Amino acid sequence: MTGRRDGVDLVGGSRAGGGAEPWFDDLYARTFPAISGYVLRRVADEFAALDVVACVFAVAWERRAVVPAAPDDRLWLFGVARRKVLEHQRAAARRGRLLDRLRHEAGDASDPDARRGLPGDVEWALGRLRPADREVVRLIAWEELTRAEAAVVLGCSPGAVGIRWHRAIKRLRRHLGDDPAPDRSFGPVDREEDPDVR
Amino acid sequence: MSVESRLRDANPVPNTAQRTAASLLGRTVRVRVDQRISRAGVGGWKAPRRRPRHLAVATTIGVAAAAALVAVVAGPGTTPANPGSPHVDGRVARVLLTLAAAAGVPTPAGTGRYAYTAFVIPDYSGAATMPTPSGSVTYASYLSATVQTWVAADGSGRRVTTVDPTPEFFTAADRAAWIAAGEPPVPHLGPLTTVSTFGPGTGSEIHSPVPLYDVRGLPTSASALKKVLSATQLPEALAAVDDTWECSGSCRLFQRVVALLQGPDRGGTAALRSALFSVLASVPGIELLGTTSIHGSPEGTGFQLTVRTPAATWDTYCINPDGESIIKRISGSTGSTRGIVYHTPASTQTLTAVVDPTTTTLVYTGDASTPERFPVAPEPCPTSRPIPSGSDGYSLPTWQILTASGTTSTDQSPPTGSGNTT
Repeated sequence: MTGRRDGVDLVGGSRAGGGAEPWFDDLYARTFPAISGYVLRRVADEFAALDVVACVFAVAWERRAVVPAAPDDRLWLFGVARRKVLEHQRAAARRGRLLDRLRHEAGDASDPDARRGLPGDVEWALGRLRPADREVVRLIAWEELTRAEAAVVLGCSPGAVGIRWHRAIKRLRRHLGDDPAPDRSFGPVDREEDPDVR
Repeated sequence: MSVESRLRDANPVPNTAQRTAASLLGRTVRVRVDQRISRAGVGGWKAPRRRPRHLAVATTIGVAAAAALVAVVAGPGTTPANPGSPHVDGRVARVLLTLAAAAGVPTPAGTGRYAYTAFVIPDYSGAATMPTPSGSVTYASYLSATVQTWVAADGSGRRVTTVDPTPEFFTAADRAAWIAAGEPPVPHLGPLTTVSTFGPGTGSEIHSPVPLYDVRGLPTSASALKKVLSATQLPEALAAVDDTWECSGSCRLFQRVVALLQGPDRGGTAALRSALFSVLASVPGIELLGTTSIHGSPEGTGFQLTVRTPAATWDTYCINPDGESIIKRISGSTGSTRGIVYHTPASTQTLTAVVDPTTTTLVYTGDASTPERFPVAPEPCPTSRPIPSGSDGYSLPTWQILTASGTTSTDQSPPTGSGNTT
């Protein structure tokens, strides 16, 4: 069965590409893969992730007057997604605190953070980074942004991103007992804009 | 293997060429975008200025397996809500505009370094005594907590939350059942008293049942303020305003305004409070309750907004996140016989505020929904995970009673004689 509401084909074909608003259709088509990936990596509850992604694009529509032209609109959307994910995580954290207390009452004394991977795992090592450093690593490693692009998303200077990146990599190597030789093939480096790598 | 390579391999959701806007996942999310735009009234392309709609409450459901996503969309059973278009009651508007004219600063001016507030709120952390859909617990009880907050001019401060272990009950029948059960103590998780401090600039990060709002950036013109508060997304400093409940249209505006009027806040002024009351006067559908006291709050002028949500039928889709296939589709209908509820019953949400007409302080805000428990447990997608917290379908009433406010020179004790809403 295909549901239909307000003339929208709910499953078989939404308005995407349906001529509702060419600018928005184009934005959605170009940026959905990146934005959905960004949210899915950070919101563990996949159902909630759907809502967060939808919310990001609803904000883009509401604030269409200030959305930059392509290709900068992608970075602008990353910024919105970052805020929406943080809002979601704050709400989830409140629920999590109650769950932790419930676990404690139930005799489960395990550290909730300990459930984030095992020592030596990348997930565990990422969890030990400062939040700001961790986000830089994710933006560059997983979202495949350059340092300059990550700086736009985070609202800081490329130099600051470079500092966080190097600090994070250094710590990750220590946590993971890794080969100290950096892999320069990984991730674009904006040497001209990043004094930290000169 | 280098750290960089290990990071790349650890990407939990690899970038894939299949996850496009035209994929099933992309189209499904796009439908939700369209629905959000329509319901938010933010100039949606189909009906940019249609009258506010009350929307079906989104049910929370079990999460799919790692490889699946779940989409719940309103199906053909959704019916229009509230056939009558709500309007601004002239009498209500006059009362609120009178309050706007008389509005003062949220806490009395003084020489003290700290603005002090004390709120009483329900504490549901003793969740073991909450009723369950299976009826295994026969009474519902809760505790009360007092949240005292001291905020300095730079936004730093201190908060003390004290839980009263004496149980309270929603109904006389609940109390009688508790007595019949031998008056067992109501469990409370964690210490009865918690103390926290926060530094300058971090006050807005307090996301507790009583958030602290940084209102310094808000305009004091009623029209400009209404524009800000009607937007889908509030400024980051005010994100906590929307923490307690999600609704739209008049409901959202009412909720945001009363939250900011009640505080506690940083940077509140008489001009802002006046503008907030003016915005409230323009919200359609508000009813006047007259002089009232709720849950033992101080007496004041009561206002109420009622939001009726129609019954709805939901379809559940389990979708492969990077593919085109529907793993599973569940079409719901009223009266399912398999113990699985697909039908969301009609519900009524009531938002209430009580204002002290002398000081214009909000002494009570409340949010309740009937029925209080939603039977929402649609069949989950194939999953090995437990249903996450927040998905149990409870909708418990919340409220905040302002019991004291004032200014003080220390963050260790209430102001002398702060009493009720000084």
